[in-house]
Amino acid sequence: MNKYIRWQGLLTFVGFFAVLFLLVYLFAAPLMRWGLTTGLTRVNGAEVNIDKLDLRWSPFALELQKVQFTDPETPELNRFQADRVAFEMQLLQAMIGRIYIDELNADGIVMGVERESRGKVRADYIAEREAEGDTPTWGERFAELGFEFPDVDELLERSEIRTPEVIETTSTRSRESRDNVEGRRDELPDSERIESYEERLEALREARPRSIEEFEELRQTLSELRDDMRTDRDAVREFKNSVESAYQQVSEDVQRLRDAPSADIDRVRRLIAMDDDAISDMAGILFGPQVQRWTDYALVAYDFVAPMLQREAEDKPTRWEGRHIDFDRGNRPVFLIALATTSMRIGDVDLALRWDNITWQHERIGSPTTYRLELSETPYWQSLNADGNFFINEAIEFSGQQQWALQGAQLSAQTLLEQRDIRIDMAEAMINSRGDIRIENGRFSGGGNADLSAVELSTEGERSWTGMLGSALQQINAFDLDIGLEGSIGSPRLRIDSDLDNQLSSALSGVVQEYASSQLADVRARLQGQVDEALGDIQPRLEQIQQLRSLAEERESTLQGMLDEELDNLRDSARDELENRLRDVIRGRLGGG
Amino acid sequence: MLGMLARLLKALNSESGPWAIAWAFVLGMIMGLTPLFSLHNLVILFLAMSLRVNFSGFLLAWIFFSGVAYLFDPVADWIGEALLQADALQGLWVSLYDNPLARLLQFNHTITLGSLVFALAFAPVWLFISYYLIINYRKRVQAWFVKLKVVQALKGSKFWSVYQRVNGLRGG
Repeated sequence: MNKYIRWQGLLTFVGFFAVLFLLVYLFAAPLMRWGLTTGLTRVNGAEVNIDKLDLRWSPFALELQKVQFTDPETPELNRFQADRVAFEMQLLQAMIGRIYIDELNADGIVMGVERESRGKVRADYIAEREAEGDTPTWGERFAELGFEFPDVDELLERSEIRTPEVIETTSTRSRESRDNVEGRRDELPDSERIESYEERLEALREARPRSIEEFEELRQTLSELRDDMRTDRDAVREFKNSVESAYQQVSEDVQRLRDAPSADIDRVRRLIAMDDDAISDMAGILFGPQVQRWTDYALVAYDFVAPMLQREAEDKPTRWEGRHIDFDRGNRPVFLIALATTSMRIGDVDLALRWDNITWQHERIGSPTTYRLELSETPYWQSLNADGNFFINEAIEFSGQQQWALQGAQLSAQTLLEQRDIRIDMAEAMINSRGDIRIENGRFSGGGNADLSAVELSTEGERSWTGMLGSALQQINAFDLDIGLEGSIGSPRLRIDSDLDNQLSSALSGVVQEYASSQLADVRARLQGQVDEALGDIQPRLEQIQQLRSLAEERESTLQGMLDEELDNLRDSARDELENRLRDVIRGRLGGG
Repeated sequence: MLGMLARLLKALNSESGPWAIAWAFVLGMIMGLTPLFSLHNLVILFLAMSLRVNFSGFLLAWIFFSGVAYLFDPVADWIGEALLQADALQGLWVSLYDNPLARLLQFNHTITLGSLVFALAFAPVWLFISYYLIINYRKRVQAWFVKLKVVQALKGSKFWSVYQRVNGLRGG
């Protein structure tokens, strides 16, 4: 025997594997916990925690305590959490890739609960999400609305108010015009000069030309006087024109100044005006997260299956890695949980959900996975019924349907929206809901409706607009939500329509109008005050210009009067006087000779 | 590695049975050509350790054929695919499929089955080839080999000192 057997080697081999098996036996539970945590984290896209894993070898059974799946979209929350998951399975079958579980129990299932610490999100999940592009969360959508009603100072700042600029321009121009015409006032002939004209005229009136020479002299004097007066009159005209022009300019500026507040008020009004489209998403913003949570519960069945399908889809070997060929003529599924009872906690209520035939190979077992909500009466609602089923064929095409009917459920007080500037709370509400969701070729369709009544909404926030939104929300005490579901399994998308938007729009419109009136009155008063103050300075300047214009008109009129009448009359009378005198002289000479 | 080669040369040059070395080459060939992490390789390792075959020869053959396996995988895949798809064998495969031990042996994996079947079929041939080579090495090559200038040069190298040390240890 010793000729063929190397005892030392044989014992080394046996010893090595005995130690290896012993280590596996002793550390099977932590190893399995590590393996499960790692594998589930990969499928989940974010950290999965299992607080404790208990292992029993015969019959082979696992019990997991406090299983937490981090929500990769909100790592502060667990998308799924169970206090305890326990099941027995056939170990030998499991070793060859067949997971058969006769009965699985999961207790204390909750969704969307806060984690003790933020979960880690896998880098590949983040890269994939970034490649897909971010869809804004409901909270971000609220921020995008730019839901804001500015106070008077902000309004003045943001509305491109032009009144101060008009005041500045008008004030400067009126001062310049006034200074300009004042500076040219010296060009006006003063009263002494006018009086000197009078005196010179008077002297001419008194004059009695006795000869042609005297007449000629008188005419010369008259001509000089006329030239002087014409020069002054032209200067007065020129002055008057410039004063007229300045007066016109300042008058127009004053009118523009008077109109400026109105134009600004229109601008402010446009800024305050409520855009109806802005509140078309309010139902989604307020109830989106809540509906999302309800939907998470409603779709918990598909959350179980989606990772399995993903695993199935990933199992595609490359050419030279070879392939495993399936010879199962019995068409047994590789994964089957014959019966699962899960206990879900919503608020203070435990919902028992019974599942039959959980697998993704329904064609092999010839029946769909079915699930049904089982619960006793609770003080939180009058009735609740929900059941559904799904079937996945060999081509991994998913089909199924699910329906629910909830009557008279009392919603507890909760915060609907919490952001830096605002918090919206719902003190209470009663809800009735009914819905039917279908899945064809892996895509969701259908949805449900939720009628909310006896709703009490309130807001908290320091900004003025939060109070207005609160006033509008307080006017609403009943509305309905139409919830549509679309998208594929694993990434369902919610569509929420509601008459809440219309109601809120109408209520807000009234509140905003009231707010706008008071704000506009404030703005108008503030602008009018500025204009009045400016007019207090400008109006005297305008009056000064007006006085100068009157003075110029008067001087022009005097000079023109003298030019038009006195000088012509004087020339005519002097000529007549001379003619009479000449006639008398001629007559005397003729008579005496 | 040098030590392992030295041990092999010592075995070749010693009075070790040529069958012991040839069987080691065969076991190394099977383990090298087939995927390493297969249950049948545990059996091969068990045989290599517990039977009086030359272990250094086994390890060197395993390393050599592991390199060859990279080129051989497409052939193994083709053989495995042909066998697993053969109508005549469907009954056998279907019955084996329900046997957990057979599943653990990964009989339904194309490369595993193809390479194992080839290695087993090639084993008798390789056994006699190895035996023939060892005998002829001892008869003809050894004396001629020792006289080669390159071997003379080798005797002054590190390899020779390792060889001598191994020889000394074994001899002592």
